[in-house]
Amino acid sequence: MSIPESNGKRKAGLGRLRRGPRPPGSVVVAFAFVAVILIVGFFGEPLVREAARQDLTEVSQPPSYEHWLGTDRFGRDVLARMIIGTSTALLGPFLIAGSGLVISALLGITAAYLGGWVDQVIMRWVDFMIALPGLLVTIVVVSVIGGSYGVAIIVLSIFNVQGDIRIIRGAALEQKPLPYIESLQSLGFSKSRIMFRHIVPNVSPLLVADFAIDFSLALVALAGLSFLGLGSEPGSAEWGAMLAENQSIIFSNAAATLGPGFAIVLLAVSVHLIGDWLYDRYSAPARLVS
Amino acid sequence: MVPIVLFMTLAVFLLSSLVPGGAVAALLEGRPTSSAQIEFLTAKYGLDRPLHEQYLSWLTGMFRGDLGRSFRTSQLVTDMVGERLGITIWLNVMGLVLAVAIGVPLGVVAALNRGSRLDRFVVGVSIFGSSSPAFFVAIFFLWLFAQNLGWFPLYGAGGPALWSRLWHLTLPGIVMAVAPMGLIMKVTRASMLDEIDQDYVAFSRARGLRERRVILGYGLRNALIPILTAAGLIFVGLLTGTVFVERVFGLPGLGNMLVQAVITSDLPVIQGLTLIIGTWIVVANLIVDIMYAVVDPRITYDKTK
Amino acid sequence: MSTPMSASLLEVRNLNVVHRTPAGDNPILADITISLAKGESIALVGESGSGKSMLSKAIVGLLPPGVLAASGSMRYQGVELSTLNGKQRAAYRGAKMTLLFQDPFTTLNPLLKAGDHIIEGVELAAGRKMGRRQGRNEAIRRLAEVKINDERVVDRYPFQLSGGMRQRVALAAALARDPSLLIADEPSTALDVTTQAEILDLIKETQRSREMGLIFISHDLRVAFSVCDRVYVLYGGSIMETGPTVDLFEAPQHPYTHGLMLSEPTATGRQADLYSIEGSVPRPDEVKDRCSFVDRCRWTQPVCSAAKPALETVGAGVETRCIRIEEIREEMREERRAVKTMSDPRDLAEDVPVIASIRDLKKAFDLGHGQTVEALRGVSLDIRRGESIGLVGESGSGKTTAARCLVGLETPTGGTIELVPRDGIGAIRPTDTAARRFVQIVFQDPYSSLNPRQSVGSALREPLRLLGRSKTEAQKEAAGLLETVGLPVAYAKRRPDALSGGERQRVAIARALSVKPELLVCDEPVSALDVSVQAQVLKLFRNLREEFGVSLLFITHDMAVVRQVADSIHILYEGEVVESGPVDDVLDNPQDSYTKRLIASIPGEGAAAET
Repeated sequence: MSIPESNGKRKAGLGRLRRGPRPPGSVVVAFAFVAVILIVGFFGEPLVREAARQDLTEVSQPPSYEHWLGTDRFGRDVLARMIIGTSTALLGPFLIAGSGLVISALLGITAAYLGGWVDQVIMRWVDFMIALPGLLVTIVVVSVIGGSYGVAIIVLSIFNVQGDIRIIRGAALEQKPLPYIESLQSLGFSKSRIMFRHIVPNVSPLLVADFAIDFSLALVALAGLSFLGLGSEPGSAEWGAMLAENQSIIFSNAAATLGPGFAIVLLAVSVHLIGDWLYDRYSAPARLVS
Repeated sequence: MVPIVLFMTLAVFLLSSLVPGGAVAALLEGRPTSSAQIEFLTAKYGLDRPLHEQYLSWLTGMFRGDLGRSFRTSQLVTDMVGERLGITIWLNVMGLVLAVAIGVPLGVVAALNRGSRLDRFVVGVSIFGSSSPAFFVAIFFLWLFAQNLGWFPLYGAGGPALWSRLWHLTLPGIVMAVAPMGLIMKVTRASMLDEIDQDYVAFSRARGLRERRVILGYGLRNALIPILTAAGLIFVGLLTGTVFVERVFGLPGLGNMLVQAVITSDLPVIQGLTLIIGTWIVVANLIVDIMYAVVDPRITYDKTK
Repeated sequence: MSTPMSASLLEVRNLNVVHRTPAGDNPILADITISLAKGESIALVGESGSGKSMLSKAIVGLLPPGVLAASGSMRYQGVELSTLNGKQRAAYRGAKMTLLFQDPFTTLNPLLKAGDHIIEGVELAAGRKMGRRQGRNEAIRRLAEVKINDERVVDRYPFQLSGGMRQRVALAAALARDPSLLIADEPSTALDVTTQAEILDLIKETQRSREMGLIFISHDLRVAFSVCDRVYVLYGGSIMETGPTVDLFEAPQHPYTHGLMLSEPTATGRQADLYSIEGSVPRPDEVKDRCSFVDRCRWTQPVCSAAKPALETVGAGVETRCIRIEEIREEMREERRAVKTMSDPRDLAEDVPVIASIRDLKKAFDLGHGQTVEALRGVSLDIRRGESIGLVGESGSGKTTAARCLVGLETPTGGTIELVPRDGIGAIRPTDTAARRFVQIVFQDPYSSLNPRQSVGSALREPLRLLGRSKTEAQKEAAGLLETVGLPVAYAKRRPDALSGGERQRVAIARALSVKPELLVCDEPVSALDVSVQAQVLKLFRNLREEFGVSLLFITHDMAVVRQVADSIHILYEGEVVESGPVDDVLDNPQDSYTKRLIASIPGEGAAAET
């Protein structure tokens, strides 16, 4: 079987990232949105603390010039509260996705490369956990132990990791039998060097995409928990909790629920889009027309 | 598989023992009590027996069809489940059926017309759908279709008449389908795109087979395996969606029952529902495994011919 | 040359196929003219990038999106194909012309039984569904036509059949509607040598008995010669030369064909000097306005770069695109004569020490369910210093397993392997750390032999640094290694995907040499390369041995390759050595029946040769 001999003088890796084709419009918008959210998350809170205070004279007002998204049951400006809740909305998912990234890289690659009983043990655990409906179990666990933000994050992290491990392990298994890895073995490099200096860079696009998807899912899961009244301090400006609180005033001010709701969806979608795009960019092989 | 169910129920049991003050405190919900009351309740519910005895007696009770009584309402857990099971099952079934019936064809068409406007629409819908939390879709649809447009009733599960029931459950059923549909569309499209590139598809075209045969018999049939895997995930994921949808629409189903039980620490109910959830997972996995074997002969036959 | 209209099956005239992009049209095929008469067989020979597969797709109307026939004509049985709409064109496929693909492992629908592949075609031709019994009988009949006589195959799934069987089923399926033209795209390349010969015979016979036209596509000149009456040689998207097989074989009329023929190693004797064409195969758009071969041709003159030469007739049915052919014909003939000089393989002196000794090597793999596969059943051989040994076998022979055991990538389940380094403390085993500097391996696939995210220089410096060299030392040595394998030092900065297959293979060799091994194990190192590049790498291996005294264990299925590189060979069959000895003795005078079969399967040299 002949393999194309063409001299593709393309540069790979970071070089490609810097001067590749422009991202499609949707991804640009996604980047912009995430940037806005990040800025709001870091700097927004002090600016709106005033507006978020209770004002019982302006209860459940629909959107107006003064209150862009109206007010809630206690007269608090909805948009202001959303801004306050931004940092929470970012922190939790980031921790969950981050821990997923680190642990899955470690365990997934180790399981794939070392094989044997290490692999068996890890995969038994993974297969078992994957079968469980994570959020449901989290609901039960959090309610029995006692709900709080920290507990929710830890439990969700535990349930999130499995899917990642399986994916990373799969990717590492694809790399493992390749000649370049075997050549490294034959040249006498240590297992850990091969795993972390060589396999990791070759599965990194997947790690990035996974992080993005995990972030989206965690965002939605955490919001779901606080919607049910679990996993966050009562009265905090968490988006999910706001949705639940304001469901009762949906007739007077629908924006009070739709606002935080759309914020959740848009953030989840944006991160997802960015993750997909980065994956395509980084891992697409050069295409040859033969 | 069965060990999973046992494990889950055992885990819940053990967890509940971690509740500060034990189950009694949960029962009393923080009301000030005398020690006599505590003693009485402890004896009544057998809470002073060692844990493993309690668990065993619960297990044996389960085999007899007795899951105990709710701490809160003293109703038989089995009765409570019976009342609510229909609604939950209907929601799940409707969600799955809609997701597959709409998601698969759209995914196929999108793959066949890659880059077209329809394709981009499908991709957009699938990303939004799979990223949208069920509770928000529920609220949004409720606001849009029920409140504003008045197409559907607002709350509750409807009157005794069957048609009224179904009418009330239609919108919730649609909401249930949104996220799964997004996922199925995405997986179907990706899987079909892979298939179209395969040699055997090209060979079937080279032999002049009808396009319909090529797409269905060669393309879709081979694309089914990843789609089945996604369907399996959905089977289980729908359960989570049920909780939120029932909550928002105020439907008396198992999901709402779980939330209630969880908020009031109603342990027998939680225990019973855990059993149901575990069984559901086992059954779902079994069904998917059977479907795998039906679709792919390589799985039925031994790997070494 | 065109055939009389009555007998003409396919007439392609001045066909141009392009890849249409917003930036413009990229040429893929330029000015293709081909004619085929009923019952005739022609070969399209070309390396990668020549466009031969694209041509077959153009003929059946299955060009990928974005690629189209921009100009020129294609006539089938007198009908101009470009005048047909989509549906009409589709009606031709399978019914009048059909395509047979290269890889039997991906060409059949994994979920469809073998018989059903055939039946669906027959039903389509008949226009109605057949009864179960009738369909089954028809399938059995057609399977017999492709020499499958076991009725049970009808109900088997592809994964239950061997590669050769699958290709036969594919052939039967392709012929289910009894077309008059068969286009076979490298139909035997993915198969074992012995199976290859069978499939080639089958295709020839089927073509003859059905009186079909045959277009046979291949990268291997010898295979093409053994199957077809006429040959078209493609390079860089254009036809370089065409003529009757006999004439082309005797006297090629284009430097490219000439070079290609000489580059292909021969199994008849060891050449004193391996001929190779410098450089790599270009993409068609790189040679748009000049002779495609200009950058690699020894006889290039400015006139060759002025414009793309036209096809000229230089004999009965012989055409060429070389405008200098009249001037250089004699020189080419001289070269052919010179290259034919044979030499004797080196005879090693008696007292040369053994550096690797394999005794009764056994390796069994556990497949689970209590089943095991015995890859090696007791192989013994010695490798002496500076010796080059060939290990020849087909898939399943265990040759790759033996190689991996030798390098320590697998552990044997029985027997011993002893390695004796020059300055050693005695014998060591392949899994010992010291063995890492003694034996290294070069793999078959150049495309996955290098870390895609690592620059060439880094890949070479890394093992040197592991050995303790400083940064500057490593850099110097890496540059030296690149020179040794004939690559420019500037390549150190490049990433693998900027290199061609042959260049990547050289980098892999350089990396293996970085630890200065005494034994180099090469597992099919040239099988995945284009013919015109193979010879370059084989030359490199010969040089390595002569200049550096490295011993070689050369693993291959290709008798011709092994003849040019090895001093002595061992023939491996199902885990055992069935014959061994000096390469000339074994190849000229085979004793074992399997060896005889292997040699007979060589296209053009054994029983399959027929022109």
